[in-house]
Amino acid sequence: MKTGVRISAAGSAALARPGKSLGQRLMDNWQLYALLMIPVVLTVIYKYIPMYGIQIAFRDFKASRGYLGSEWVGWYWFQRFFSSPTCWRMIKNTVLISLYSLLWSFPIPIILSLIINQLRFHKFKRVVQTVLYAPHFISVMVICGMIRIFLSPSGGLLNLILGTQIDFLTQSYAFRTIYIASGIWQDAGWGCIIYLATLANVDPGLYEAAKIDDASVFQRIRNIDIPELLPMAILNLIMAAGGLMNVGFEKVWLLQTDLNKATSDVIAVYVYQQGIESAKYSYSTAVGLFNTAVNIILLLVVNKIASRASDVEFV
Amino acid sequence: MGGMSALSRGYDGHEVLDALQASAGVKINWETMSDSLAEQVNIRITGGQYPDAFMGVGFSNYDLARYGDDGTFLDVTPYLTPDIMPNLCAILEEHPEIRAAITQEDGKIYGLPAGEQMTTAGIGAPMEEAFSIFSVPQYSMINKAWLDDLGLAVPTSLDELHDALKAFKDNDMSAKYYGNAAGTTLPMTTGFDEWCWGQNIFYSGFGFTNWPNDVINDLHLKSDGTVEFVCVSDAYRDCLTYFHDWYAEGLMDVEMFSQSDSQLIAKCQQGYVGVSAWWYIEELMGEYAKDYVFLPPLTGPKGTQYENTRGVTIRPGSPITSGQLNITNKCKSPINLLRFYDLWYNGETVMQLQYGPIGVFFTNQDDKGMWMAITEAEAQAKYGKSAGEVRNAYETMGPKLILAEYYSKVFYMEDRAIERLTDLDQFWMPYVEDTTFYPVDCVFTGMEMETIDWHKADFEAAVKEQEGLWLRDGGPTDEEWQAYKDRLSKKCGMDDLLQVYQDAYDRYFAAE
Amino acid sequence: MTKEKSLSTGMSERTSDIILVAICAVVLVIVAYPLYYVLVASFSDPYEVYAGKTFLLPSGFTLDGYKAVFAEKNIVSGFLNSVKYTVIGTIFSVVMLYVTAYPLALRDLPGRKALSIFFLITMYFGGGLVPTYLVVKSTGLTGSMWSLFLPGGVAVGNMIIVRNYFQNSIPHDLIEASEIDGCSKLRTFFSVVIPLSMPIIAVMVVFSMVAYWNDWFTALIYLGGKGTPLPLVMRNILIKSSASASQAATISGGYAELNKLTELLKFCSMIVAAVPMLVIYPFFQKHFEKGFMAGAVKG
Repeated sequence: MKTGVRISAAGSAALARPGKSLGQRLMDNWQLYALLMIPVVLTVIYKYIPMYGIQIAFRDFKASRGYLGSEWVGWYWFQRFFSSPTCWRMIKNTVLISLYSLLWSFPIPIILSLIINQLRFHKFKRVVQTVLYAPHFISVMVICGMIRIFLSPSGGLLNLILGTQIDFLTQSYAFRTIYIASGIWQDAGWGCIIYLATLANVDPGLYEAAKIDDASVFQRIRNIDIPELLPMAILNLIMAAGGLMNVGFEKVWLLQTDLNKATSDVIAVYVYQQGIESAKYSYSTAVGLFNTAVNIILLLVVNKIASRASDVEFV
Repeated sequence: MGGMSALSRGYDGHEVLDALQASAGVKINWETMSDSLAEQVNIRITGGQYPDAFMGVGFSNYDLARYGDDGTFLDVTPYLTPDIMPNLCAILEEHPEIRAAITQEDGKIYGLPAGEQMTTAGIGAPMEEAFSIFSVPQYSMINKAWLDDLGLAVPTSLDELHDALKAFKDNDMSAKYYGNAAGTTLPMTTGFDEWCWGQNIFYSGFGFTNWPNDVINDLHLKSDGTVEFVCVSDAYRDCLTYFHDWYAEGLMDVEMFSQSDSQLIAKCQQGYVGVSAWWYIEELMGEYAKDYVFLPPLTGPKGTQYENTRGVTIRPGSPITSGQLNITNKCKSPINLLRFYDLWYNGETVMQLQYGPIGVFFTNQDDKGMWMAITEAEAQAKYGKSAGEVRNAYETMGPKLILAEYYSKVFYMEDRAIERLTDLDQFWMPYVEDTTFYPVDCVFTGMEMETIDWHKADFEAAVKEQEGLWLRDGGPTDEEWQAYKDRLSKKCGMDDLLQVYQDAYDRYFAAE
Repeated sequence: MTKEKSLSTGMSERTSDIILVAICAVVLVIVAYPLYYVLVASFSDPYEVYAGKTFLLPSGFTLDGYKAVFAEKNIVSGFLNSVKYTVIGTIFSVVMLYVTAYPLALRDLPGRKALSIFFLITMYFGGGLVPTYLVVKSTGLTGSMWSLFLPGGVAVGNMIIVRNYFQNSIPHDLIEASEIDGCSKLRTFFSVVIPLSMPIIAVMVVFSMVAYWNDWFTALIYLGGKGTPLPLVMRNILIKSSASASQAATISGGYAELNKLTELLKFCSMIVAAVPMLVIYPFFQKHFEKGFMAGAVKG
């Protein structure tokens, strides 16, 4: 329907000027390379050079001795991590909380924006959007304070509604739900921004035509909006998969109690405590590195699924 | 660079510090930060961006050894001479135990001593028999008005307390007596293994009170000089099994494992609560305070081996540390800086650094020459602030060594501290039969510190989690108990830790 | 198809409107109530809040929290610092996004794939806090506000969104036409691409603005106490009054009072920090909901 207007991969290949040598093409684009200079330089300095420091995961890093002067300890820190009493629990919890988060937090902004986009009362639409987006500004500390209040067995709203007296914060079965549901509450509206902006791109003519065809709202959503959103959604999915193992440490930390650790003990909290609070930089780097490795595996899986489902270009 | 009291107004133009600098002939540039100190300090040391000295950071012994070994912190032993540091040397001469506490295994000292020896000596107890204000951290309390209303006496055993709590609950005393909404009564609410508001005081009926501890939780020094972990004893197991029944009957607050101190105070100040624990009744109970009395340590359940047990184990006081003033290798003239800090080791000076200047916080001396702090009424009249707020504005974080004798020679303690110590001395200590405790200033070797650093946090966390689960869900079966003990020794380094603490104590004892 | 037809005739515009509005209304209440609650809590006695006594109206009305927030002399300077960092940071970030995304969106640029991968790697793999700190320090940025912007470099996730937007939403014919007219690549960028990408600019401005406005961790690590932004000032106020129930803190009196203030400050400081962004948001929202060029160009 729209491929005629957009550049598809095939279209652009045809558009590439044939017959020009590589040197010529490089020359043609010198301005673009110049533009790219600044971000490339910054990325090399602040992203790539620090990667050299990852070696502290294999050393007993002492600042006064520098990277190379610090003793090489091989896999010592990794072994130490794997022999810590809660290591497997942390890995399991991190993977599970990440996957469930993705499963729930990913579709909800899409559904919300499809609905909001179809609202015809302009003022109402504005109000909905602004309110949905507001929780994004609440600091984690306050969110967790509110969760405590709402879930409290003595006078908390949820227990009043359910007519129970359960301390959900000490129930390990409830932890993931609390974490994920509050995350959705906080960020679903924020996640809508990008989708609504994409939907704003739909040609109003299409809606007009659909109306003439007597298509219902749901048909319009299905036939016009969803195809429009799909590429962005897939893109977001792949990117979310890249951040899968980055469980927000502060929130978990504030919601953790001694009795829900069976599900709330995660790597991120451990890395923070070891690395930033106790300044065991080598150890925390090693654990962080392991976390990244797991993440990359998960990313490859999601990427595979996503790219099979669509032809969205990521690289 | 260094920490500062959270409510301080900064060190530039601080009357006391300025006067000290003038008299030492140095000028110090203060760079203060009160937020997330540890995060910043560590990364700045790693990045090589640190000042001449750190003040008020509170480095742990592990940090000191680490930064001392790599040369970041200077060894100050060469400067501890009567010529450079006359005041401090005199103190160390008189108190070899302070010197021992700050000396590393290899004889080096990486920081100046700090600590506050607030003991019952301050209220007149003989110096040798004085106990730290921290000896018993949880003062349990009970609503006497409710007891009277129900015709009950203040309990002396766990059985009696059990019945009282049951009566509180069955009669919904919060609603009945205070007119709160129906069903709001919380027979007993505390935190879980929390500092002054935990449930640990109630364990005394089983022969131990495993307070949170500066050394390591659950470590117990027996009177024969051997150490043990109380969390693997049979009494501990019986205790958790026993209290689970209370929990299951709804006598202990369901929220005890998750509530913050704010939530606890909130409930108490609404008049919902029968029994709780804190340092001061007034502070916890607010306007209901007059109805509460201290609930003494209780004896164990009848018909068991614990029937006459009332074992309150006491805690050590706060340690003498050397992480409050540390000179770094960037300092060009440690001698001048140390001359300045030597002035801190004087009773009147440290008093002013802790509370506020003479003329502001201390205005009068009594006939014995003791300084008297400003009273609440005077502070309000003079500055329009509470005495606590005046103090907060002046308090300086740093190497303040407040010796026990200052409280009987230089100035009087705060009223609240006197009150608390009096309670300790008159009400709580008489219940303590065995006064041995693991000394907080034991010195560990580098290897030992490694072991502690590796295992302590994991060990404490594992014990605490399991304790809570058993309290809530029911005590352990034989298999669970065995598995738990195995996990502690195989995975959490319990045996190594025990060895370390025993060895360190043996050395300490030998040196005494 | 006929089935869908019958469905659509069965469901009038009015019915579907009602359904949509109803769904939104429910979502609105779920989202808004806790927000409203924070507002109410910021005027209430925190102990009454914790005792479960507050639902719709403040209980134990108090202004102490706001008084304490505004009594802090660093609030104004923190606010101004934050505005400065947010404005400069947002401009910097959005410019970076554009100069990266545009060349990478052009499929005939030699080396495009390699460059994309070059950026993409940094999204998943980093040196970690300490190595990054050491580099920031050795480039002399610590203590300067540039330490908040430069080390972040290009926000790769956002860059990919912008790049895909260029590829999918800006008709290539227009770029072609502009180049045939003799415009240079740069000229085309300014005269065709930028004007046609206002909605995505608006989105990206909002994204980076909010990120800079809320950031405290970078400031904590790199600024070393100089030029503290508002969220960090707020955090400091909280930490200042949150004397935890530790040994020393509970010795002197007034712990309960101090603790009460801390709880109150949590809510007040959040309101104070969030209001500026909430006020400014609708201004940008206008831009990305306009349905801009779709009709104009494609139709």
